[in-house]
Amino acid sequence: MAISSAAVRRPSLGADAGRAPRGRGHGRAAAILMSPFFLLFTAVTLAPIGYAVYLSLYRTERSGLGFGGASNVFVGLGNYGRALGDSVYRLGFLHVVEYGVIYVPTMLAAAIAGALLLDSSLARASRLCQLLYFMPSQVPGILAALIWLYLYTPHVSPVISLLTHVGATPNLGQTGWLLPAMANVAIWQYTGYNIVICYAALKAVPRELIEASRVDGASELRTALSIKLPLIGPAATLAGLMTMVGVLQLFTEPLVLNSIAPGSIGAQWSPNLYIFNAAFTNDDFATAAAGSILLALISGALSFVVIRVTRRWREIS
Amino acid sequence: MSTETLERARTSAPGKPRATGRPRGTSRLTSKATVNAVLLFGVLYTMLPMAFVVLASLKSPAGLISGDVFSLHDLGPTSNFSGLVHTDGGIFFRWYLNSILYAGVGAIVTGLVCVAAGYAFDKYSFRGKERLYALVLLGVLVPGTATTLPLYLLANKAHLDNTIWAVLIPSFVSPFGVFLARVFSQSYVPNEILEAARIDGAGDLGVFRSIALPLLGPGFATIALFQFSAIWNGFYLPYVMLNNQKLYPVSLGLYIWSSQISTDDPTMLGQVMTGSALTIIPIIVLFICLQRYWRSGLTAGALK
Amino acid sequence: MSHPRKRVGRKTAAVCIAAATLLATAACSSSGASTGGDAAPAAAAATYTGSAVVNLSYWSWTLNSQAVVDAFNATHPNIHVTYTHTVNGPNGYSKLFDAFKAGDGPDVFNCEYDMLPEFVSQGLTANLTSYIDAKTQSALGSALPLTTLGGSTWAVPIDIEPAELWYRADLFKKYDLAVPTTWAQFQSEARQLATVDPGAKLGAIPIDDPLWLAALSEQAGAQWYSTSGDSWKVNLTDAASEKVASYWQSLADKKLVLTVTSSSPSYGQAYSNGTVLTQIEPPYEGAYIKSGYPNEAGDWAVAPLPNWSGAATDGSEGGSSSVVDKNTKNLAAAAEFAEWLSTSPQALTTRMQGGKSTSLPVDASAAKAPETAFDTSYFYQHQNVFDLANAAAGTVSKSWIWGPEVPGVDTAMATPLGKVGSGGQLSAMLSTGQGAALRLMKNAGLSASAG
Repeated sequence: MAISSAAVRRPSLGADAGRAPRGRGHGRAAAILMSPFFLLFTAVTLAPIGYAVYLSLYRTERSGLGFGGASNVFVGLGNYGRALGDSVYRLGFLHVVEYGVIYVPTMLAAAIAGALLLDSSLARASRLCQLLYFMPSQVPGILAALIWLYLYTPHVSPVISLLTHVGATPNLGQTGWLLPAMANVAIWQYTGYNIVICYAALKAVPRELIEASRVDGASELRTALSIKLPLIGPAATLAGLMTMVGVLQLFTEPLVLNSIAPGSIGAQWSPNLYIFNAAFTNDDFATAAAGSILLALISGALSFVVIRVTRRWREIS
Repeated sequence: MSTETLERARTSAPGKPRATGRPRGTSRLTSKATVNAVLLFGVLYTMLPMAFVVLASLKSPAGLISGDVFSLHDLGPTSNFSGLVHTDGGIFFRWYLNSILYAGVGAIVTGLVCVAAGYAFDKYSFRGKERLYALVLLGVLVPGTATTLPLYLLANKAHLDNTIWAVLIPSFVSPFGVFLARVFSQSYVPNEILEAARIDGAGDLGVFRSIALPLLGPGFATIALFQFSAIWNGFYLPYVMLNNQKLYPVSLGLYIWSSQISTDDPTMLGQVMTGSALTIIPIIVLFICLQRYWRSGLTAGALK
Repeated sequence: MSHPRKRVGRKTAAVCIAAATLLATAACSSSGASTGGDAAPAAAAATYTGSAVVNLSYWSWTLNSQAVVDAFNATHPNIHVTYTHTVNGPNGYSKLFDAFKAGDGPDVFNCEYDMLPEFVSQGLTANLTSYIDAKTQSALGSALPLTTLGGSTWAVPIDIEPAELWYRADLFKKYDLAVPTTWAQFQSEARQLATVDPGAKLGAIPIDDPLWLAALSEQAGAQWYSTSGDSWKVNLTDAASEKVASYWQSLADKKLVLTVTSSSPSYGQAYSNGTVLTQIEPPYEGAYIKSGYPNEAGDWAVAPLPNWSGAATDGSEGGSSSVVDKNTKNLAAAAEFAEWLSTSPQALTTRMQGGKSTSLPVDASAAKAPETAFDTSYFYQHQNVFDLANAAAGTVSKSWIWGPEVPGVDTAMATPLGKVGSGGQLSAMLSTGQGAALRLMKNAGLSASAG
């Protein structure tokens, strides 16, 4: 289709909501576009969350031997107090923060760098590389867990034998080994996934812009850093935010490593494992729901801070 | 980056690269070597464990149990595969087809639903928009652990449990997909194009369908890919919702088999591993098909 | 789940752990199922005689259950059972609890002995006492104590799993060791072995399996749970349990036994390369050994568990039963089906077809013929592993029961148990479990006290 040159010249590029259409008719269009999502979202997400909040205010009470059955008792915020009062639950937050400090920056930096490298005109076989990087995120959990179990078990793993040969003595019982080992599993699995996000965003950068920069004599590296990087900012921020929320809901990695180092991990190492254990092992859904809502509140507060800080940071630069 | 640069770039020679003034000489050669060395390191880092994944999937149960996974002893690919074919009359393949249905339909619907919502979040402004957006975030912040049971109880009340709808409907929702769509809409759909179209007299929904949607192809592809893989690998919700094993997705079927390994039948270990490895194939195929959507210059190309 | 509840399917447990990671935890337990019973269906006390067809739902994770259900349906025109294959372990039970919360629980379901009190103490299960007649009582007698809580019977036992000593007969010969019959002898031979071959160990402590220590404590005369009137009694720290804990602690401290998680590859490796000579496991372990270590054909044998006093006693290590929903549409029909599963020779034959399981049906006489489906030629001198298991089953404690909140207690005990071998103490597992059991029961509103 043809674009009138007048429209193109209008300096309105960008995603500024202030310039977006408003008014009658537009409002109806927005409602029509959003309603499928929000109808489904309400049924599949909001209603269950509301239900969970409701259940978190009750406890099942039994008496005597319990043979007579259980009854539901309203306890207000009692389950929240119970979760917060449990040092195991609180300690989980410390664990995931320690883990996140190692994992989030490493993975994000690798994903952004990976996307920029793949997009570089210097890269060979970049589509193949992209596929290979992405593949670990698609390995079914059962296989992935098995592999890490074998790769991390002394006397079984060739990697540990190698490390031992060069004088290191890996021991998952020590935090200094445990956290990086855990982060490594997640980096392996999710870097490629986040590369896809950044790479797809990168492809929105108009080629002309890059050509122009090249004509101006900018090196490949400078083009990447000064033109491409700022343009994938929103996508990278989103990837970072989701990664952070994922870290707070950490689940799989400690579970895998727990069968190698049960004494130093346990079934309740992270808040989400604690919640899972309450809901599915102990059949204590009330505590699980309360713990989940607390976790959501904390993640929400943290996300809010991150969004604010990155927005401020982008405004400054 | 200034808007002016962009304007210049856009108006000068859209889509037609000029003869590029390539930086020449050893420095480019060095850069090229560095870039590809880093990429190669990345490939080795990801592929070494993948090689073990392949090896493990070919092992006989005894080979896995002995801990001697990183060798070529005790392979049993044919007996593993024949286990897949013969258990319960080859139900594995029915599960596989179920998964293609669930993940395929789920990915397409989710892609469309998310792109529409994300586009609306990006291009329209209305009162309470950011609050509504924050509500979507809630869908990511509350762990699935807390919503599975309520979702099942609701599905049970609606008599949808143990039907394919109990698997399909929840798979149509992806808050993350909405975020992605909004980000993609920001960068892939320049506002001036929309304005131009409106000046030409097109209605809002018409603009979305004929202009924005094609431009958002890469966003749709990305969201659909992620959702496909999420549905393909997820097994817990189907596990809670379904009792009829003819409706199971392959992830759930393999999960139940794997549980049988530790209860009754350790000989199933090999076929579970082989089956798990086989489930990676559709996603690889899908990825390769979708890769063309991430071609550069799509925006500019679509303008002409 | 990360910590295997009860019998972990060793060596293959890695896989369960792995399955867990898909988002939920895997059900890493085992405890097989089987069968038992020689009573003809007609002789069972529970009989549904109505002419209207009753539809029942049945959930289980045990092998060949679909075929068993088909066989039942074919011979019982007025009852139709629909089968759902679930998983064992926490995820299996959470699916059950979810269904009960929706008011949609199965009429009959499979449940391990240590999980039974949780269902019973939530008031979810039907009291089957009046359906167990004298004949059934004698057929299932060795395991009925496990399903009898507060004087009532709440489930029909399927299999019984006495702890046994599985050992490498070839290595015992090589090192010139005798099969130990007492724990004192086990200890002295462990020392002797260490002097001959410092790399070899006589046994192993699975540090992710609280049930292991429970079975050994039961053998020594412990009684972790009991009921007194309207109250639960908890006693994980009695003298017998402490004696067992300190015995194994001292073996671990002197490095005479291996401390290892049964779900890690190290476990399978230790038994594949002959580093460890014995394992304390119940009958169903035979099938694992056979398929897991094919290169050791003719080497493995099984002996009764060594004892403390010279008198043969034993503890049970797993096993499961059939439970009936309190709100079932037809209690008589559900009870008839549950009983048929355990006592009908046809049910046993169908369940054991293919010879993949060495789980021990409670009813030894009815199981005699079906058991021959399992080919025992793998074992040392073609040992009939079922004969030994049946003898051991007769020496299991007749008073051991489990209590409510066992999953939470297991979770609490997992951490101290996981530290054994790297500075932790087995006695800490017991005291942690004692505290957790009392706390969790009281939190649930149950009446509970130490003792």
